[in-house]
Amino acid sequence: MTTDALDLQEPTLGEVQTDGRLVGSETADLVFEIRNFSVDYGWGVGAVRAVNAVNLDVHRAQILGIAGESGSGKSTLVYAATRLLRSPGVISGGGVTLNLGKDDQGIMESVDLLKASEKELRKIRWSQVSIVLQSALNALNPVLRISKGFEEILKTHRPDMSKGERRARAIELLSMVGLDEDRLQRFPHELSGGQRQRIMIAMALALDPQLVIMDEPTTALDVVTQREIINELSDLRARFGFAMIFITHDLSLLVELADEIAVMYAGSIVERAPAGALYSAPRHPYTLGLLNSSPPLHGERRELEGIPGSPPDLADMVTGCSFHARCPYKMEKCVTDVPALVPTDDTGRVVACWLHSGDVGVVVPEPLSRLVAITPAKKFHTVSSTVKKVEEAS
Amino acid sequence: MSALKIPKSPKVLLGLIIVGFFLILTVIGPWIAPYNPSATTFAPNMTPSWAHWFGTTSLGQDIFSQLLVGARATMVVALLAGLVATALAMTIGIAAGYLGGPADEGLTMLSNVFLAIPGLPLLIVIDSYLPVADRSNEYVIGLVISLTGWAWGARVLRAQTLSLRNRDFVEASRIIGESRLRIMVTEVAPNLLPVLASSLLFTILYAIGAYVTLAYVGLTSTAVWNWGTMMFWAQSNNAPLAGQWYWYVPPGICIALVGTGLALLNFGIDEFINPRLRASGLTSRLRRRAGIPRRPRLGYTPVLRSARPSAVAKRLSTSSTK
Repeated sequence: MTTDALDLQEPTLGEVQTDGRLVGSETADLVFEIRNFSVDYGWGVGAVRAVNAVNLDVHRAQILGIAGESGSGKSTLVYAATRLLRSPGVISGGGVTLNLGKDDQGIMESVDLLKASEKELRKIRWSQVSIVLQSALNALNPVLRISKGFEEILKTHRPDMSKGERRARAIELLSMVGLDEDRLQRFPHELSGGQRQRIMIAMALALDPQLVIMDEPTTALDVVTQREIINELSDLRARFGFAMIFITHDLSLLVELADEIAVMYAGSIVERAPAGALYSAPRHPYTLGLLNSSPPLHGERRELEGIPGSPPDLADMVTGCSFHARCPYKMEKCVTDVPALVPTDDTGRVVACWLHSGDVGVVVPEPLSRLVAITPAKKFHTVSSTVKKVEEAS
Repeated sequence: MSALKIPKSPKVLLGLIIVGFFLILTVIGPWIAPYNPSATTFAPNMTPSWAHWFGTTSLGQDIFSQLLVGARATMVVALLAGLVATALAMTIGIAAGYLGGPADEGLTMLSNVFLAIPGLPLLIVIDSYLPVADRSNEYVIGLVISLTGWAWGARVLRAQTLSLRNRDFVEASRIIGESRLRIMVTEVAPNLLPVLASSLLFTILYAIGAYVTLAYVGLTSTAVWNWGTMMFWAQSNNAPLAGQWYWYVPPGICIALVGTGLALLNFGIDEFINPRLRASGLTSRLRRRAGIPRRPRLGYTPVLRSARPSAVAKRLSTSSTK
């Protein structure tokens, strides 16, 4: 029984050596790994598979964007992976590991989130994994001053801090997100939506977490504020080196912010690639559709197209590729066979589409065969070097 | 409505069977009774036999027939009182909770008064003022019982309404100019269904108890057969002392069974009405085997037992010395 389960969870990315170690320069920085992860709503006969065998890696100082339509499973994936998903959601397969960093002997400490007890989860929440939600108004207690919020987090998790140190830390956190220290004495209702969202981000960063999850944190904000917050997040990540998962349906926003983007459709990842490569040369027809349905923050103007049709009913899943009903490049094979995620070019991209499976006789249509304009993974390297500098300095 | 499928929980199924059985008995009981329950044509004090399943009374009446005929009056009074009391509770509770202000004060005071007065003595007092002809009328008795049984339900419904009246969807319909009556009926009331249904079940239970007690004390007409009058006659003819258990135990067991059935049914109400729970219908045994706790906790998403933990969980880092 156990061996069967082990076979299922064979990692598909990275090479495992016989002693169980992963090799490769990036794996040392691996913070969060999701393997073959499946999530159902309900159980038994009425179960609906909302996330289907997803693999994801998040590295140190990396921003991973997850994009997709409403109902594509992007929030479900991340909530379930952190065990925050509400009933009737259940985790039906796979593994999720959070690496906490190396201890004194240089051995990686890690937590298996699916095995962890409630107590262990409680310990890592906020201190190692923090989350910023869309509605900041509901997350802040309306009768407590902002300072009280910071005070309580630090008191609980950093008991040896003095009152003065706690206050200094709160001011430092506020200035990190571009807020003046007099905001500390305000009540939530005295702040604007953007300010409240910044407070939430500052609180999420208060304990130097390994991983910060942002679930559409800027969706309720205007474009200018959105832009400011995105820039701040980008800077903060470079300064402190935390990993970030950013969930949004706004693909052009992700292109600005993320290092790598995973596009989800009907519970599966259909394309994962470095942000630049994904933007300049999408390979999956769905990615192309998403890119064409939202205007870029800057760059040339273009016609918005959208994607005709609507996502498939998860309770009554179609055969073959889940996107075939809406795909303009549908082939016969798409209706019957499910495409697997396969690498397509040297950018580290994987895509689940029969157009790119290397079958003979398949002509890839023009919009999906563009050359990659931006040098791959450029952004990621710059960030890594920034982190190294920060490490050397400290 | 596709919601009306057979419930999977054995508890609820059992409750459904018991209550259904007695409901059928209410309708067909008097038709299938083998003898006239009042006819004194048999030998008195017979022990159970094939001809007389539960024996005969000291007057020579067939006890089994009395039990079957008595089911109708008992259940009719219980159902009528339960329905009327729940309707009263709903009207007063929702109105008090939604209208607020002086209306709330008045209605709350009224239900507090009815809560504070002990039900049974009040019932006896009201009943003793009834004309003797009405005491044999189940419908009048049912209405009188409902008068003492609505207050608790009204209080619960008022509290629920208070929490609902400020929800966004209620406020939205207030802003678009819906009348207060319409909001109470179409926006608030459907959300109270689970509370309402369980309050109905327990009011029916209360009504059975109250009716049987009244009959047992001898305050209803003895011309109407119900399970209480059976026990009244058994008691006044010293059946317990004479060891005639077959006289007073069967009606007692019937009352207890109806009560058990209603209570079991109450377990299923949430499952029926709450769409979130309906989607996840599994018996508790199967659920436990799958590794899902009975009450899912927020922040602790269950992992199915079939899903094994990650194979790459405990792994050493590549560079142990850096």
